[in-house]
Amino acid sequence: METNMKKTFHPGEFIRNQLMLFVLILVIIVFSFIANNFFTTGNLLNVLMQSTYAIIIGMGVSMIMISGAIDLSIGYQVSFMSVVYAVLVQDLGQSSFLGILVIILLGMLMGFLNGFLMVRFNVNALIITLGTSYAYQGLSFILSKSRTFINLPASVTFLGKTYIAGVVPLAIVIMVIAVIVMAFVMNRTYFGRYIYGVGGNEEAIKLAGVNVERMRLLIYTISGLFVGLGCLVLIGRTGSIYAGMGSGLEFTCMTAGILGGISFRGGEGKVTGMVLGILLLQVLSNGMQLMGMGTYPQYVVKGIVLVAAVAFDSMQKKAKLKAEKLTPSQRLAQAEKQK
Amino acid sequence: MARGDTLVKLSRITKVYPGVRALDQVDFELKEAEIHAIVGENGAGKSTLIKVLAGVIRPEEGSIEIDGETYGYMTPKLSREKGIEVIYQEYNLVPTLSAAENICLGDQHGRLVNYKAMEKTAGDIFRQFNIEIDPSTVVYKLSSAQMQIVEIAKAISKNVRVLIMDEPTAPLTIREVDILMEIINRLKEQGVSILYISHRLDEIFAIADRVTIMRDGQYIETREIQDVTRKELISLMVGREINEGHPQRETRPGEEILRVEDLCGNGDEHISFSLYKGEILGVGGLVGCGRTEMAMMLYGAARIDSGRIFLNGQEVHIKSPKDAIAHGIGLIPEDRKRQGCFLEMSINWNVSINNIKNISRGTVVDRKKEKEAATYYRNAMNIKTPSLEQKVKNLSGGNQQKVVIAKTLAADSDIIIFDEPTRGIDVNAKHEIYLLMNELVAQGKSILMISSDMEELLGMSDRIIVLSENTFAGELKKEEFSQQNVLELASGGTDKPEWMTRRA
Repeated sequence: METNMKKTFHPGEFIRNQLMLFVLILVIIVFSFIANNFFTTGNLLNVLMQSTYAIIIGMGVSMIMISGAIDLSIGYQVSFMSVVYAVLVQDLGQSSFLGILVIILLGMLMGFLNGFLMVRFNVNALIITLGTSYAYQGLSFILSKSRTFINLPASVTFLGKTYIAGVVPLAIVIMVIAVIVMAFVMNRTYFGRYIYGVGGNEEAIKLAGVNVERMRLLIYTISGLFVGLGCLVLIGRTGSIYAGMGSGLEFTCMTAGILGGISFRGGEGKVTGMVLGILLLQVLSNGMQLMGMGTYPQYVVKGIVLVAAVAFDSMQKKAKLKAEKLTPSQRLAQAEKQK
Repeated sequence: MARGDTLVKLSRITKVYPGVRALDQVDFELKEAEIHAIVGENGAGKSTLIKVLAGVIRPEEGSIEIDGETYGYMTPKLSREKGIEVIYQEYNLVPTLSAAENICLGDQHGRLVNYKAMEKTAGDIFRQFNIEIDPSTVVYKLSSAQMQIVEIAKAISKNVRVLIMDEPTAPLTIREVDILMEIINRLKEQGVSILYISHRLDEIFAIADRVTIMRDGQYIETREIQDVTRKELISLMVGREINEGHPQRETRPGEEILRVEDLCGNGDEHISFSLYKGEILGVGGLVGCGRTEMAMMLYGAARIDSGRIFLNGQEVHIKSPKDAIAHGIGLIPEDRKRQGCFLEMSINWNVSINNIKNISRGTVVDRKKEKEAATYYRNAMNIKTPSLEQKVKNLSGGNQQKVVIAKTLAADSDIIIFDEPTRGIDVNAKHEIYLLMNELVAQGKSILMISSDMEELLGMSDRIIVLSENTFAGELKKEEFSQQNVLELASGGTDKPEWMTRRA
């Protein structure tokens, strides 16, 4: 038995596996030529900054997707927790520190609630989170009375505005830490194994002695923690709070996840795929913005990119099969060789 | 065409997949109104041959002759037109449609759906075979035996001339098999040719007219069934003499390790038995008699309503699989794809998952230890794979089953529940698993073996307990072992199996 098969380097395979990375680089190169001011340190840093909160929240989303579930309420979770902060601090005169704590705790609580409802009533995550999404949307508008809150205290905006040593934005540092931690958890710890197991075969992971219900609660709660953290970065970036804030974030993250190879079936994909996906989406919108394209044409492009990516992936898999399908005589020859 | 004439003739069919000749110059001939069995180990090319006939794959070489016409390959449409229907191991039914709708699927008459006509068609076919299934029943509510009958009815409604059945009895109990045999014989009388693939030689000797043996993608021989003995057949299949039966062991069960008293829950009632150290305790019964349900309770995967479980004389409360594993109870589940393994994950990953906490340092998985464990089991169980990084879905059924067993053994259990340990795997892999079971009991472990395979049950067990209608029906000692005795207990005295009389 060929126990130790040598790992040889196959350029084709490498490109296939790192496809998103190459696409991202390609898109950056293309925009560098066709969009003015795209390839400047300032703009690229800007793109990165704009990606930070989505990537942080995306860490939670990827965990949920890998576990074979979904959370449609993330956008309005962000709205709701921001508005609660604003009302606490500006209307009720509470300390900003308390408000920040409330954001984080609310994130975990809302995540927990989604998980709890799902587990307790054994209802599909799609339906539960669609429901909670509506509820949070309504609550955000009721609480905020449709106002926009500005002049936020520095204690809440520091995550988006602080530069370490005057150069490195704190938000990026937090993002990098979040990604490293999650990549480690998902790839190297048994907790991560369990998440893949829950998404890959729920029945089998149950029989492996894993309490799937508790896993789901944990996954949603931890995801909520990332939502809270991402929300703080977002508040810092925008400097204002309003009831529709963050809406659609869940779709951005899910799109990015799919682009990055995280499947809705669960049990597949890597959190780094999520990072690449979000960067790609941000680069695309930034580049198109610089080219003077309007918001709506941008939607069209993003839609096409998503469908094309999925179609391409599926074609790749087919092509892989086809490549193995040689002509009859070639195959006979190959089979002879193997004998 | 008359009985005994050649209906389908395959000549020198060759199909090559990367690195393997799935079919190598295979000849095969099917006569009008005969039951023709194909036997061979997994990977012998039986399924590939079926697929060639069904038009799902195109051979590289060879020809197919039907009705005096010669084709280089079939297409699914052509195959249908010629009256070839296949019942695959995974049924092709739409679970949310009724039996009648499934049977008539694809036959469009007019623009609107005529439920009455469909139900009449289905009802007629069922009546013809004395089957009591209400045609309007939604398929997912049927038992697997009933689903299979719907599949057969579907084929009949399409004016089938060649019915191909791939391991049709794998999900059936002995009694259900009898009924299937009856149906097959009736079909033969009506002039249908049956191509019958099965690992169970008993069935083949009971029903087939001729048998074709395949090995490693090659056609070996076709024999009239009366001209071949069981032993010959097996040696033709494996290409050498092997002692089929069940490997002997010196059984010396020790003291009691598990005692179950009046266990109720998960649909089961009043089950009591003991399991001894170093013993294989067989659990017999019809499918649906509550054996798996009992196993699930013992393993903590289903709630226990009442009753007591003692391990080494100490009462234990098993509330979850985690508890069961902690108490040294392991389960090899019935359905390896649904409950057993993670198809998209590597062998490494699968083997370590049940015991992952012990191969981790703190929370971090120790990959070196993981690889060591997987390598150990690959060698110990002869798991055939080029690499431990291979995804489990790329392994053969027998090797997948070995991975599932390795996964459970890696958690180092004292009591191992095997639920249908060798379903749908080939003779060789079966033998290896039996040897492994013997080794386990020799090491002092105890096995609770649920099996619907009568030979296996009688051949491997030290004692047998039988369940019937979700309750304990009786116990058989080695000297009382016989098919008759098991069946009597299993059927609980009533003659007709429940699935036949129950209107779904």
